[in-house]
Amino acid sequence: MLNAYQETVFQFMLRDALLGLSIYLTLVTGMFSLANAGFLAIGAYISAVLWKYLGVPLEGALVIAPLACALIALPIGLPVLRLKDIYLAIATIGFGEVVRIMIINFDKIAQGVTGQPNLVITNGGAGISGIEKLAQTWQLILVLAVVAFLIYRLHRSRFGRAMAAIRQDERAAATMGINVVYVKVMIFVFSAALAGLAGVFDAFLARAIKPNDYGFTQAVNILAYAVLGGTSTLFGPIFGAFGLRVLPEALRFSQQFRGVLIGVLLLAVIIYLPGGLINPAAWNRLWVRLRGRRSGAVQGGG
Amino acid sequence: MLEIRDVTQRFGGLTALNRVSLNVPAGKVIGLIGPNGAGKTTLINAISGLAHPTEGQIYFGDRAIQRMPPHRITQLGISRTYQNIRLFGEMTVLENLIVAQHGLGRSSILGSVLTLPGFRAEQRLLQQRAGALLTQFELSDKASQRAGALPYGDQRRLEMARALATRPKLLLLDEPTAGMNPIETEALGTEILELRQKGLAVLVIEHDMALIHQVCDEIYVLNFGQIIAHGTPNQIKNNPLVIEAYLGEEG
Ligand SMILES: Nc1ncnc2c1ncn2[C@@H]1O[C@H](COP(=O)(O)OP(=O)(O)O)[C@@H](O)[C@H]1O
Ligand SMILES: [Mg+2]
Repeated sequence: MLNAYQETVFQFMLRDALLGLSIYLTLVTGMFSLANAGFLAIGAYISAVLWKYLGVPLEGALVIAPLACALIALPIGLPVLRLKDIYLAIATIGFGEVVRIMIINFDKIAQGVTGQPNLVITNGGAGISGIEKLAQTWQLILVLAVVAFLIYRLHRSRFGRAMAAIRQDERAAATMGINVVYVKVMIFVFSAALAGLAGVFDAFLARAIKPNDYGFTQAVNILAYAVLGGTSTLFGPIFGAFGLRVLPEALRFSQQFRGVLIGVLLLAVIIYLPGGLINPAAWNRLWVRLRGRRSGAVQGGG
Repeated sequence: MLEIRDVTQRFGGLTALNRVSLNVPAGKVIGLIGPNGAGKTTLINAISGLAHPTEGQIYFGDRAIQRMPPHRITQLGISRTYQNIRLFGEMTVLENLIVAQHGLGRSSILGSVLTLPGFRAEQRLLQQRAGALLTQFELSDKASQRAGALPYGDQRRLEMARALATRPKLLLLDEPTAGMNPIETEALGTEILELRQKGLAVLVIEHDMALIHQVCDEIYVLNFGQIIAHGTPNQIKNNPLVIEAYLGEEG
């Protein structure tokens, strides 16, 4: 069916879709958080280290990594989520940088603490290699399907409505009896767990991970999934993630220009379809407008 | 029921409220009037927990609420509308009324995601209550319209319906008739009196003196952050301080 190369691309599409859903959760709650890349890194490194030194398989990491990310997100979310908009974005980028730098220097700290000068765990900037490619396509599909289903259900629940209310007017939401801080922190924690989950697959797909894979560029890439697909439905960021994984592959014929082409595409979406490509209401409006124009022309001619 | 004791609110150097004391007894409609910038909205913000007062106490029943977060205050039974309408504009009319019942729900995040049986029953109850409010405020035929696209008068009424959806014992109305025509204003007055009959206490900020006289049991007058007069509508009408405060605004 798919050759090995195509299958790998497909697997990364699925991993990216998890990241898209991770940022989707925070965005639809009105939180402009770019912390996902940092939690992706934590998830990936936990998986790689546990596998390499303790032999913990992928299934184990799928439980441990998201839980660890959730536990880390909790104390970070409480103070950081007081910030809004661009300030939150900057603070969460800062978080990602702290994670990256801590991973780079982890061994030095561990060597100091344990008194073993040759201790190697994260292996600094070079990262961890030789990880077995344990992730299976069916596992990725299953995890993505379950996560998407749970988010869909969350949406239709009282918390989903509270999330939308917080996005639209936080103060009004609070005076309608919604515990804004609780909902925000919980969603931030879920989002972090989801990024950690993606990190598990990242480690067991990429086979080699290094801190610089999880820097600012990665954080912006994840945001681009939501920008391209939009956040009107949860299919938006999934579609966006698929698109931004497939496009560079499809544009291989023009190595030099593919970055530019993708940039232009994103710009066009931001300008002409600010709700992203998966936005039923916008397409509906466009359709009505086009039809209106056509029928108007007919009337003008008659 | 609501007892405000010596509440002071400072914003930097500005004293927006200066030792304000005010009572809203159960089942009464209390008017709060005063020129623009007097501090009326600031007082409602303090009661609803959006801005904690610098000094003073606010009691609701026997609980001090001046340091509580807004959602807790709403859950205790105080609800409000906004002077500059703050509906959830992207939601439908019905969704606005359902989301306002959030604090009444008991299902946990997990329970509602997994759709445990309790969650379904709760959903039905929320829908029923929202439906009753739609009827009461004559919004039934607009239930599935986007709240942000409603005409002004409808938005004002939806704000009031949404405030009632939280099942308050005390309702705070911040200039509920602003932008309404005289017919809509009078209908709203009737609505307020009906709410009082059902046992609700109301604190209403209003500029329309006809409405104030129609609905209020007592009136407080706020000027430059201080209560300058308190009494029945007739007492207030003839109070020279009040006349001066309003004339001062126009002059
Ligand atoms: N958050 C705030 N920060 C600074 N000043 C404020 C704030 N809220 C209100 N004020 C000031 O407090 C005063 C009273 O405002 P307000 O309560 O809105 O008056 P009213 O509702 O009676 O017209 C005004 O001078 C206003 O500028
Ligand atoms: Mg005001």
